[in-house]
Amino acid sequence: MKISPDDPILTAFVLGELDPSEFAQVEAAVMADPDLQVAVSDLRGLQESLVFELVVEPELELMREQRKEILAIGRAELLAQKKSFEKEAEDALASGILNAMNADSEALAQTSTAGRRIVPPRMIALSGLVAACVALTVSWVASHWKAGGFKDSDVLASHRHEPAVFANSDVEGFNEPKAGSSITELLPSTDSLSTGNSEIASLDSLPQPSVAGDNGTSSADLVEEIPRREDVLLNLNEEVRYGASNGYWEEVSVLPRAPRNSSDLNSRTTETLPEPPDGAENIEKIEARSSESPYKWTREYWTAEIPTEIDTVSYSNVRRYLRQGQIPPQDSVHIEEMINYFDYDLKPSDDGMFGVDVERGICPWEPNHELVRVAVHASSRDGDTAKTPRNFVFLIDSSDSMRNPARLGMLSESAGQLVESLGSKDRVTIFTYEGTSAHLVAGPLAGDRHEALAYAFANLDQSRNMAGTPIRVAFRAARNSLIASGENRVVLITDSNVEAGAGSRETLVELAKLGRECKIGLTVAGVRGGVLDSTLTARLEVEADVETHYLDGAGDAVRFFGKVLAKPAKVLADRVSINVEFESSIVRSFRLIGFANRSPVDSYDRRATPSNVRDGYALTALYEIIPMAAPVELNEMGDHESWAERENDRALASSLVDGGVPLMEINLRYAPVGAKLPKQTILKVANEKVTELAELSPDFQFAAAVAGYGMMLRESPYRGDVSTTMVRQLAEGGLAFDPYGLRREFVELVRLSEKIRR
Amino acid sequence: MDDRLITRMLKRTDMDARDQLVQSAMREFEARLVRYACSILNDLDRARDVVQETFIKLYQQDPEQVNRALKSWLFTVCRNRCFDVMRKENRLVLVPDEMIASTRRTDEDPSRELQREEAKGEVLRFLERLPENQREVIRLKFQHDMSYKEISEVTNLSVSNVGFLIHTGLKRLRVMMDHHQSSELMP
Repeated sequence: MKISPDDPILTAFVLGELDPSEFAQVEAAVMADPDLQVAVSDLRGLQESLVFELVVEPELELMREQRKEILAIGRAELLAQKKSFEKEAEDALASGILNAMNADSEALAQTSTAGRRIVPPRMIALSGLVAACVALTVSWVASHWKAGGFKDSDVLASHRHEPAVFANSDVEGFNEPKAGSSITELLPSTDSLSTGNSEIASLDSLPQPSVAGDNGTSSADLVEEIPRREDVLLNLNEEVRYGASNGYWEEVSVLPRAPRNSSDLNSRTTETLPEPPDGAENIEKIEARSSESPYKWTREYWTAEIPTEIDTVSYSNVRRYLRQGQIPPQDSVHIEEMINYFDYDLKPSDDGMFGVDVERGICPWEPNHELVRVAVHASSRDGDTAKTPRNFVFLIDSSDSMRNPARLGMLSESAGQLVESLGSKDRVTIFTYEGTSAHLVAGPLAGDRHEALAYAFANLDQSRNMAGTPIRVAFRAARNSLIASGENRVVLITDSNVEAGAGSRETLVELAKLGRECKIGLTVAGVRGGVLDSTLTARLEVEADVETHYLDGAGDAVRFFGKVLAKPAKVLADRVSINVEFESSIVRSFRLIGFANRSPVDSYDRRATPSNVRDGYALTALYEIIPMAAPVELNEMGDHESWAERENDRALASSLVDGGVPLMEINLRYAPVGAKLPKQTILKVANEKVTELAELSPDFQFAAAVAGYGMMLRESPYRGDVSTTMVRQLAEGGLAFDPYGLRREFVELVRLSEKIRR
Repeated sequence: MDDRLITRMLKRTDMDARDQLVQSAMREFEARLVRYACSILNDLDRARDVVQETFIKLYQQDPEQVNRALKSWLFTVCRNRCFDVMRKENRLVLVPDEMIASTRRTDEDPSRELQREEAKGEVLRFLERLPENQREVIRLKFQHDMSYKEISEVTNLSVSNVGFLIHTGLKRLRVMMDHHQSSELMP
């Protein structure tokens, strides 16, 4: 075996990462080659100093209060979940026993040998039995619990049985379950179970951990300080609020958190927004660490949440890199933001605030996989937003850098989109500003004076001076022309610092907050990107609901005037959350495309903050799924799967097409503004035959194109055989719907990147 | 009632096993996790919050399942939570034009850097200069004593990729140290 001193295998050899046969080979090679021996001894030296220096780094620990909270919160959450299951268990009792009695014994005997942890749907009969048993257990425990007469060991003993019952599936003990039989009769008592119990049953109180010598003090303290379960129950149970079904409506804060210097992780307040010393460093830090969300096996993750808040800034970055002749760095590419930058052809739903479109088709870059497009969009039913009178005050930067056709010229041209939509009740005032001096161009004009407005937007340099800092001038004008029953908005458009027109950041934030109190909103638009300070815009957004937009080209500007401004968005609902659940007998595993850096392990995260949704809200998510019916790839086999099982599952899945079992469920929860109770909509998506690529909607094809392109740029491990040609073809298939020319621009961008790569 | 619900119910009722799991996990991994989170977030308070949440999440897991790969599970969840925090607090930053024009970042004030670095050991000083991903895998390997496989589970990288990153990182460290030594000898 010939090894160069620079071979990674040498590092693996030194670090003990090779298996015995490889190790022997490398060892022999090292013995034979003095160069390798030097390299190995170098590596060993480095290893030693690294281990030494890293291990002597100071110990960091949690604070005492935090340790106490962990078990208390953990327990309280679990208890609350248990409560909501009790009812389901009681309901299941009746139907479960019925199922079990009807099931024929042959089916039982067969399934009992499988002994799997998670029962596939075809084992309904067995599950009926287990359901009955579990229901009994749970209700029995529950009644003890309520009566307050339980001891720790009681609960332990009975609960310990359940997994064992499940794993062993000892059917003999279950042959004739009756509703009246007690839990002890139902549970088999095997040797393995009793040994499993002995150590635990002997403990009367909370298990005392064996304290290790070195870090003994902290853990001993920990045990003492942890409140006993009964205390937690008594004190905390009342504070836990959960929805009636299995819904977790609100973030549950059970214990007040210990006061600490930093504020809660979930809140985005000013204090938590860091002042980056230098924007560049910040970017590097975020970008250097991202990983794509991996496939999830439906047997382990049956439900996943789609984050509802998605920026679109990544697409602007990608576009600007490409236009400057560079391939964007992988981690600046956020696929979900790219997909959602574009508008899709979503028809408002007739029967509610939310519309959900689902489309399923073949995955272009991985023919054995499928893509599922989920589009959620919201619109107000009454359509009265068009009638709400609006009062716009524009404050447009007219400094030298803005004075070219691609900036002021672009604004003048696209402003017509807004002007057309205005009526006699609307008002418009236009200011320009240079440095700290503001100039009035026109206004306030009535919205139906279309020609005068168009002239004003086309001749932004004909203006007269105003006294005062520009942003104050604008807010003052908005207040003077305020429409009390309508929407009032100052629109600040600039290609340099946002705060320049205000004098300082503080003034801008204060004015924006003040404005909001007087019902005057602020919208900030950055022309030709890269100038809006993200710290400031985030702060404005959090503190004063300021909207931020980036106008990087004519398409952006047209959309800004024609859609964003022309159709003002009022908040329709808050606490919106979208959960998707795939049927595990049809879908083997699934992957939400994009969303790198968002927790992939536990997306069923009740602590995620659900967000507001405005009129015109739209979200497109793409799932790549591996269908159960797909040919089996050896490297995709799960740890606990056998080949035969997998083939079985495949056959079952193929038989389910067009059947009654839905492909997936989309669970949408939201609280409409003004309504007292939250609403929940569940959409079941039928398991139909998969659509061929050519028959898919333009939206699907386009979203797939953007996703594929994003994966190419990121060099994603999931990109399959995606290519620029494929991306271009898909995108061209999507051009049938292209309201602002942005999709065509995307196609051009893909061409451009082909050239750059060459 | 379908079988998934049953599975869920079974998993959610054994509270004392969870107590034990979480307590023993805290004994063994608390300090390491805080240090790890801190190396990502550069902020002890936030790192503590993240680790606390990680353990609370652990409480919700099925002990039997998670015990098989407890260490990877904890590091993975902790790492993802760190990213969530960073993302939430910094949001994605729009790249300024100058950045695009010159992708190299400007170094901070050299005198400040020097002061801070003098407090640290020599190897650590160089470690800080490695790219983020190499630094992370090297920390996981040498500080947290993880195998390539465990690191690959935590970081979502392939095992060979982990091996390559560690190899490259070590090589760079070596070069930096050699360079440093030779420049000390010949001022």
